[in-house]
Amino acid sequence: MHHVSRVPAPEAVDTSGRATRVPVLRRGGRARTAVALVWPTLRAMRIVPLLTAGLVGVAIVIPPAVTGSVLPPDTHITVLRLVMACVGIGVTFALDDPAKPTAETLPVPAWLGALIRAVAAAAVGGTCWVAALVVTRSGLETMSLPYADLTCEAAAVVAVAFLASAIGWRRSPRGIGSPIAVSALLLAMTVTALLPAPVRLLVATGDGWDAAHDRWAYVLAGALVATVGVLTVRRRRRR
Amino acid sequence: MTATSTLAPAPARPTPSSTDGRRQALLALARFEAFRMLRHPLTIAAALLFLGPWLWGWLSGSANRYPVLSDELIVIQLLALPILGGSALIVANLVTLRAHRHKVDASYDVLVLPPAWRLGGFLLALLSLAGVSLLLVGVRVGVSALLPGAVGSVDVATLVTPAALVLLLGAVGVFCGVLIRSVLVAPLAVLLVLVLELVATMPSIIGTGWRFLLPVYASEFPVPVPASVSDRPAARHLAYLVGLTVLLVAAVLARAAARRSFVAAALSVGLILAVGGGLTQSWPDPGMAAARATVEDRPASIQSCVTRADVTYCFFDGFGGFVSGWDEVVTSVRAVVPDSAASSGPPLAVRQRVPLEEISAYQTGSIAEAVRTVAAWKTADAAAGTPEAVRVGTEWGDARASAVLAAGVAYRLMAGEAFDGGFSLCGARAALLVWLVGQASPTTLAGMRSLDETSMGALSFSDVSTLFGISAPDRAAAPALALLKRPSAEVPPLVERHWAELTARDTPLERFGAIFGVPVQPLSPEEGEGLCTT
Repeated sequence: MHHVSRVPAPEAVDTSGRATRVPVLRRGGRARTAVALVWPTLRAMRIVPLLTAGLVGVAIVIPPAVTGSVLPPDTHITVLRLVMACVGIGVTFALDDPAKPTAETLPVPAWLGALIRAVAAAAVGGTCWVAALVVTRSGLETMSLPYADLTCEAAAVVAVAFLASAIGWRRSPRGIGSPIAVSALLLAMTVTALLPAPVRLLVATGDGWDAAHDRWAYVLAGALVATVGVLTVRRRRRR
Repeated sequence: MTATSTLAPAPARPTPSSTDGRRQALLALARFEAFRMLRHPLTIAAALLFLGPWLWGWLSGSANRYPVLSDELIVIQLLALPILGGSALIVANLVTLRAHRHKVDASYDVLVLPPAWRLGGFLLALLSLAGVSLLLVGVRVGVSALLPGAVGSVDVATLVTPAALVLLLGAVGVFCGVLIRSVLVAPLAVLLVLVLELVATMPSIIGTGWRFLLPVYASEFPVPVPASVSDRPAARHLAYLVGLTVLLVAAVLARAAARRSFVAAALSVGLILAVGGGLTQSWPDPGMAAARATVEDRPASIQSCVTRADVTYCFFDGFGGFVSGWDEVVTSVRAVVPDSAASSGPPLAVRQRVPLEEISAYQTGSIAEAVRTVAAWKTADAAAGTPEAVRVGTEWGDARASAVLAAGVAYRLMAGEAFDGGFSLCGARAALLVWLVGQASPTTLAGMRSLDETSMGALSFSDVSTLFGISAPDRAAAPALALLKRPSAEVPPLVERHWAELTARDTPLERFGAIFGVPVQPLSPEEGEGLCTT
């Protein structure tokens, strides 16, 4: 805790005890705050759900690789999409923070902690995804799968999951947004699966593949922009 | 919270006056939770997602007006499992974990109901979700069944199965909540359900008896088949699902230290249902092989026929709803051929044929084999009193199927006999056939364009259910497709005048181009004319 205490205290506190606009952090001060924030944030982060979900994802791709069954490429792609879904579900727990009510009074902006959590989640989720790809590649006839495009899909799923987590965090007063976030992510996945042909995202290899992956890239970009918005826009104060 | 949990020894539970009081409290809890489950956003979203695409299909006019009910129920099961079942799993799990999530489970100790009764209330509340899914499935199936073109019948066990799936997954949700107190488990369980569904639709599983042990099973044929030859033990599968649900209920109650006698009773009932249903559902039906041979080789013996105008339509039991659709296409094709040709050869007949190629054993046979098969069919047709019958499959309602039937009828009227399988059509005949199909009706034209997009080298009039279809090489199809863009008034008189020449076997494609004034690509030397049917 003493790491945090080095951060300068807010100069102004309104009557409800909430920090008003805080011009405290000077240039360089914010970097030091971020560094000081890393370890406590990582310790407070719920990494176990993400790890569990990622491992379940890796476990999904093991049976086809181990049994040596030759699956059509589209089945491999479907299996890898299930892995993405697993990792995404794990990522929805990334912003769970029971300390939210107290952390709100700190002069540290919320997005800084969220950024640290995002990097950690990306590292853990990315490791699980790479592990799943390595396992898949070790099987039969899987050398030529479009791994780059699938990774783009995975990034988009994880970005949407993080966006859901951010919305859940924002909406829950106690900072435990995962029940909302997981539900929202699963809903988004179902909607994705039911999209009509012209805007389909879950395509098989073939004609529509490239166009669909342009759409995946838009989803990724849109989710990132929306996440930044959710985490940085200040709530309008009620009078 | 701390006040109750720090009391030592454990707080004395306020004892209700009677079991009757507990039962009333349990029912009140179940009513309350049922209402909360029903108005949960996930439940509402799942209902919308379940109905939305279907409603959109109706609004946009792309819905199939000739549904095969038994196959539609299978599709609905495959859809209901992840959407309705998945949402039930998550909602039930969230309900079970609610006290834990809000950190009030310790204060529950002062309540009237013991944990086992409380969980019983949650499990009872799942019935509301099952009821809603039964209603949703009933709406979808009911609308389909009311269509005049609907074929097949609705099996009650299959109709109830989605509700049983919802109950099963809801019980899984409660079980996960009792076993592991984390919100994470339920979504992962939903993904596991998706994996099971993926496994259920894999060809290597569909060929085995194991597939019935999964919560859902897919049809073993790529096309609809008559009810007598499909292996769908719906009632026994339903018993198996209910058995699994009862076993889960027993496990939940045992974990919550319910009365032993009650748990033992649930356990035995669940075991009997699950093991009994699970084992008997994959028993092979002894009469199945004979029934399949009859359907494939001697359909005339089990089909019924109706005559519309002077055309005989023969169909498998239950497929009578398709006849009006077939009749429309046959009439439209006969309208665009000259009157002299509209009744060439023996009286026109259309007979339903279905190749029973299982998905797991799917392979393409040789052309010689196809010709032999068709020859045997023709002999059987002649013996049944419908010589040279045009073949039609078991799927209907989309434009492609209309185009395939239109091509069969057009060939029959041009040649005076049914297509005998084998190589593609060549010369002017091929181009004329393409023009006739496109000219017959906007539906057949759209279907033909769709077939053209997915075939290479030749325009192939075949869908999965009618093997041995007619095909016309792209070189012959191109001038006919160009001709179809002409104003419709100028071409039919020319067709009528040159009918005999155009339908002769040896008229070259260049003659077709000369008659109608459309460009014909020269034959490239390395290509040659290819192998043509004679």
